[in-house]
Formats: sequence, C-alpha cells, structure tokens
Amino acid sequence: MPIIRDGKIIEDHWLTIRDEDEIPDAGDIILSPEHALDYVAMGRRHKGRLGARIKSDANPETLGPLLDKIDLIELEFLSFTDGRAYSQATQLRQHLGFKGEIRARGNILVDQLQFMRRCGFDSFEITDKRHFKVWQKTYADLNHAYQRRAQPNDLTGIRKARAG
Amino acid sequence: MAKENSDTHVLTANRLTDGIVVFWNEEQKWVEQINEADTATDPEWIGYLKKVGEVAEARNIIVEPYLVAVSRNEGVIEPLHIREKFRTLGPSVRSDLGKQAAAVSDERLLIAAE
Amino acid sequence: MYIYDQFDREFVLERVAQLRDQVRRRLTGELNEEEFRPLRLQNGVYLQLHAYMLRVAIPYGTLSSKQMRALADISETYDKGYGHFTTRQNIQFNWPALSDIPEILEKLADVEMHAIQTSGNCIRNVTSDPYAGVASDEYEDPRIFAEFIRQWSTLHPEFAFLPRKFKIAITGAAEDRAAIAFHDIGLRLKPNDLGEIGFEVHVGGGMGRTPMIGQVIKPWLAKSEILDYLQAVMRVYNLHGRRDNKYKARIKILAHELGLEKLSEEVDAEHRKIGVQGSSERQIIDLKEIDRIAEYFASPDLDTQSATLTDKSVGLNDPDYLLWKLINLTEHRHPDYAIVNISLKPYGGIPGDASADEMRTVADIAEQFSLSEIRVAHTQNLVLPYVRKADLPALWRALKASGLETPNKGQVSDIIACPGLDYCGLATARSIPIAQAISNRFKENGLEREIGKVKIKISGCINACGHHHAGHIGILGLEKNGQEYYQITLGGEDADGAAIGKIIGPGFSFAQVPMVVEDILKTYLDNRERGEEFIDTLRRVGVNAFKEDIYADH
Repeated sequence: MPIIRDGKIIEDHWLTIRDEDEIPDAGDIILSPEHALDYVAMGRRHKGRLGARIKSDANPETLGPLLDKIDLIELEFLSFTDGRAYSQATQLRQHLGFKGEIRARGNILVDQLQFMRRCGFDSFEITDKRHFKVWQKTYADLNHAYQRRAQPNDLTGIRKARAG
Repeated sequence: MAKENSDTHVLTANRLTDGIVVFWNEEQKWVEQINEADTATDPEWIGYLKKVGEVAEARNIIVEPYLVAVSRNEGVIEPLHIREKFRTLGPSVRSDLGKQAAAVSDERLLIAAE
Repeated sequence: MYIYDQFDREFVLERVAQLRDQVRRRLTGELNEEEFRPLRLQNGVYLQLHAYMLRVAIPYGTLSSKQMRALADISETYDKGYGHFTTRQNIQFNWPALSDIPEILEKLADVEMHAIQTSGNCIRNVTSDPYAGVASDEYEDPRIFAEFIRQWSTLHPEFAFLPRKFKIAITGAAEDRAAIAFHDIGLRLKPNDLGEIGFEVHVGGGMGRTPMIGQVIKPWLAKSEILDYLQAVMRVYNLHGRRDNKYKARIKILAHELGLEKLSEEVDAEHRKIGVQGSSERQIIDLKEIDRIAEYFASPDLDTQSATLTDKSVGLNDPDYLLWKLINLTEHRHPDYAIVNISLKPYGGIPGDASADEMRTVADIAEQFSLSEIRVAHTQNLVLPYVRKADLPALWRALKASGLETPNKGQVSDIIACPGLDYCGLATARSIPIAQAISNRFKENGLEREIGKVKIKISGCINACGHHHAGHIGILGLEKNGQEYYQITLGGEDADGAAIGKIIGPGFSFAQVPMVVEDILKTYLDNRERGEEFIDTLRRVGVNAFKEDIYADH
C-alpha cells in the first residue's frame, strides 16, 4: 500500500506478520503487541526494525516497556467515523512519550488529515490511488488551530499559532 | 388499506443541490409534485425503480432514494404513511410554504390561463 | 460579549474555504454522500423532511444586533424569510440549498458567526444561562468559561469523531437556568466552603430514548483545572463509549454501565496521566488568560448609561403594559435595570420562529435599549439583558408595534416544541400544531393568568428534542395505525430538583390533547393550596390524583 509521509508518497517496506506466522530473518516487521512482547523477551533475532499494530479497543500502554524499542506503531481506523485512534495517538505522544512513527491505516478520509497530524500521526496508508494528489495538496495546508499540535489542551499562547 | 394499493410505489429522493424532495417520472425525470410521478405495481417495475435510484445517486443528482407505498385514485397519488404524506405537502403549519403552496399556485396559473 | 480577534477571524474563514471545497467535491462527485455526510454535519448541515437545514451556532446564546440583522438578511436571501430558535440556543434555517451554503457561511463569518460543530458526533454548542452576567443570583458569569470551552472544543482534533454527539451546559447562578442536569456534562460554578468559586461537574444527563439525570462526578474542581479534566472525560468517552449501537452511544450509557464510581476512577486516572512528567499536555489555565477572556464579558458601566428618551405618553397605567411588566421581566443585578424576556410564543403561533422583520425589530430594539445585546434562551425565547427601567414603557411600545409583546413568559402558552413532523425527518408526529391548539385553548378559556407558571414541552418523536421528559407537562408525539397520538408525562423538571416526567397512561388523539391539558390544569386549580404553582401541587398530591381525573373524563 502506498504511504504518504512528509507530503510524499513512499513505498511501504514494512511487513505485517500475523501472530501465527514465522518471523523472517530480515526486514521491518509489524507485530501485534503480545507477539512483539514475546519476541523481544526471547531475544529478538531478526535484522531490521520492529513495529506494532494496536487495535482500536486496545490500550497503548500494553506496549509499555517496548516503546523505546519500537520504530513504528500502526493504529487502525475501522471506519472513518471511529475516532478512537485519535486518542490512542495522543496518549502515545503525550504521557507515553513515544518518539517513533505513528501510522494511520484503514478507512480514512483526506479531510481528516489535519486532525490526525495534530494528534501525532506521521504517515497514512492510502487505499485509493485517485486521491494521491488531494492528499499531497492537503498535506501542505497549514491550518489555524485553537489547540497546539499534539497538545490539544494548550489554550494559552497558542491562539496565535498555526498547526503543524 | 386495500391490498392492491399497498403494492403501488413511487420512487422518491432529495435533489443533491438544494435538498428538495423529488419523484421519478420516466419522461420528465425528477419532478417535484407526487401526482406527476410514475407508479409501479409489479415487482419488475419496482426493481427497475430501485435501479434508477441507485444510478441517479451514483451520478450525484439525488441523495437517499427510496420507494414510497402509495394509493392511486384517478390522478391523485397519495402516500399511505403520514410521514410520507407530509413530505409531499410541506409544513402543515405554514400552508404558504413547500409543495402545497406550489401546487396551489400551479392551479391558479392554470385557472388564470383558461 | 466576545469579539473575534485576527486569529478567530482567520480560523473561521479557513473553515469556510474548506467547506466550500468539500461542497464542490460533493457536487462533482469526488466525495460521495457517505463520505460527505460527517463533513457536512460538522458544519451544521442536515437533510430534513422537505429540504436541507442549516443550524447556526449562537455561542452560549449571546448575540449582537448586528449579528441578528445578518441572520435576518440570510433568511431572506437564502431561505424563506424566517428562522427558528432552538432548545440549545442556536438558530435553524429550514430551506437552504447546499450550493448556497458556502456563501451563507461567508456572510456569517463577516459577522463573526459560524455553523461549526452544531451537529455531528462532536462537542456541540456550549449552552448557558440566558441571564448570564446580569442575573441577581449569579456567583460568576459562566460565559467566560463557556468561551474557553468553546475555543478548546472547536475542531479539537482528538474529539471530532466521538461515538455520538456531546452536549455541555454551564451555569453560574444559584438557580440553574441552563438545564445542566440533562446534559452530557453539566458544569455549575459555585463557591466551596472557603468561598472559592469552582466547578461542580455533572456527567451523564440526557434526553432521548433513555432520559437520565446527570450525576455529580466531581463535587468541586478548581477553575484552572477544567480543560484538563474535560480532556480526561472526553478521552475516556471517546475510547470506551459504545460504537455498536447508535441508541446506546452517549456518555450517559457509559456512566450507567460502568457505574459512577468506576467512571470517575477512569477519568481521574486519565487526568493524572495528563499531568505526567515529560508530558507537555498539561495546561493549567493561566490566570492571565482567564482575565483576558473575562474582560470581554465585563459588565458595561451601567450607571453612566444615559436613559434614552422615554415617551411619557404611553400611559404607565396601561393594563397591558402592566401585565407585561409583571410577567415578562426578571430581576437584574443592577437596581435601575431590568432583564426583558421577549416571547416568541404569540398565541396560536409557531414556538421559537421569528420572521426576518421580527429579527430586525429585535435588533433595533436591542440597539436602542439594551446596548445592542440579545440572548437566546433554551426556552426558544429571546432576552434583552441591559434595559433601564426608565426605558421600559418605550421598549414595550416598540415590541407591541411588531406583535412581540406577548405577556406569557413561563406561562401555559410559553410552550417548548420541537419542529416535529412538519419539518423533521426523524419525527413520528407533529408537535407545533399541538402547541398552537393548547395556546389557543387557553387564550379562549382565559385561565392562563389564574394558572401561572407551568412548563409544557412537546416532542414529535422519542428523540425528545422538545425536552418533553423535563416538562411539568410533557407531550410525546407517536404514531399508531397511521394516526398521530400523544403520550402525556407529568412531573418533569429541567431546573434545580431535576426530574424525569412519568407517563400517566394510554395516549390521546390529536384532537383530545388540548382538552386533556386543560383537565390537568383544572385539577391543579381544584387542588392547589395557597402559593402553590402547578409543579408544587403535583408533587404534593402525586401523579395518580391527576391520572384519575384525566382518565375519568376520557
């Protein structure tokens, strides 16, 4: 799937590994949190980066000790009307202090791009090729926001700020 | 209600640009007065009407198409359900607004023209 | 009142440009209806029974003469010459074309208004006391924090796709005039034992199919903590509110299913995390910021306002004027001033509707007599907050000249009614003509004065937008066998001592309802003791006494 990040369309090198699958020797792999925890506990032998995918009803805190070993977290949007991942992303960026990449996957609209970015998402999986141009253009837009990026509560001093 | 009446349907929707309630007429396409709508009684025609609705929605002419059960007496088509009845008329508390007003003024134009 | 600065203006214009583009993409088909729907809802655009409907936000029910005039102009240019004031202090236009909406929003932006988040699964208009800032029983003007919360919640990126809509109300007086008990979050500014003003936080109130009264989740919260605490509540709701069933998706259901204690723990836990070391999320509101916003709501210097020319020839003993004074005025915190209630419930009229001319008349009167400020009450009436007592005769004459002097505030004909099946795509029955029939009946039988205060509320379906659950007399419009029929509830209350009305028995036909209401109120007159209002007698003798009287006759 094409990914948009930093305003560009990039190739996706990450492999999603199901719980029952073998972990390859090399490559950037995305595991479920439970699988990732086991894998790291057992020594983590492959060459490549580690990522995790968190379901909408899961608590990002379950990744706890792994957070500084993970480079990518994928959050899912079961429907574009399901807003749970916005909170998960905010939690990861805020009190969990996650510094890696947060990726949006699933049913998302380009009109939601600004909201997602402001909650801490870095990259977005686009399912419909027709929308590439719109996504790229929208990425460049900087909107006014009452809430500072990934700091939705900060009202003082941000009122003159622009998001981004 | 007589059984044969509940088999009679018209296709209705809201026009995308202005939200106005419309009905399907094969010749005139989307009309604003239900009395001008095509009625369908047999399953094949009803199936056809459903398709018309889907296509028109995909073409962004209308939104929310659906079939309305009606009774037909001479030239008067009336929905069976009160909600659908009001939808063909306008607000009962403002007889000067909505289709009910347009129908009256249409009539007046006809009378004036005679 | 709050004045936009450069930032606010740019913000709204940006939103208008975004919607203009979204409408364009919808009309060309780049966006289909399923994708467009949540976007248009975020800008208050509904598809209703006859046409689109646009709901314009009137933040905490405060607007200026200039804004009211703009609403009048919009109603004439883009609609059918009238608007409807709602039970959440907003205004609705019933006939806008989608293709005109971007232009309408531009006109609104010109006068610092918008339609952002007046529908959809997001945080809606923060409503408040229509007498905020001028009520004699006020601890603190709630609009300061209403404005804070408005800014904080506007296009808040984390909470744009909640399980369901979210409604916040805030009050700052001894008497609750904002119906906080029936909101998802109700905030009550009040002093603690040390006399410090803070928030009592209620959660999980609501109307609809499962009416519930909010519970106190936090007895007292420092003002500076409110945004962090709200953040915590919203996050818990966003993550754990039900998304499987539209009718079980409000926070009241979550509160009910978890229990207040567990919900409170979850919120506190989240609230603590917001303050975790290293997190830059925590933001105790700076006192300077509170003061800055408070300045906008500072009471104008009322003592130095010169009285406008008063017309002595009105006849201060005019019985109509005296009656209007008795019924439609509310005590002001300043001894030389009065709060004027303008009824939008003329006898036999459509509750809450105002024509373009009426809107302009109110704008002019407000400009002349009320420092150009108007309030919208959740009772679907208007309020003038700064009227000198000396100006009352002239003001009344101006109202009378335009038919806006109906002296029925809080009386039997001051009925709250949702648009119902005359306008709404969700309705099962009509509500407006029921209100009209009741109003006309009591005009005829001459009992309105005798009866005094009573709250009648009518909803045209179980979604309860007419707040019938909170009516002293509640009327719910349903449908059976193709006929409208109406269920009566008694004993609801939306103010302090909040209560949900009880159904009294089988429903009544359209024609029967005014007679039933008359019977109920006659039973009250027969049973009342000195000084009792309807609700007092009802509470004392009980619903069953009324039930027996009604069903004996019908």
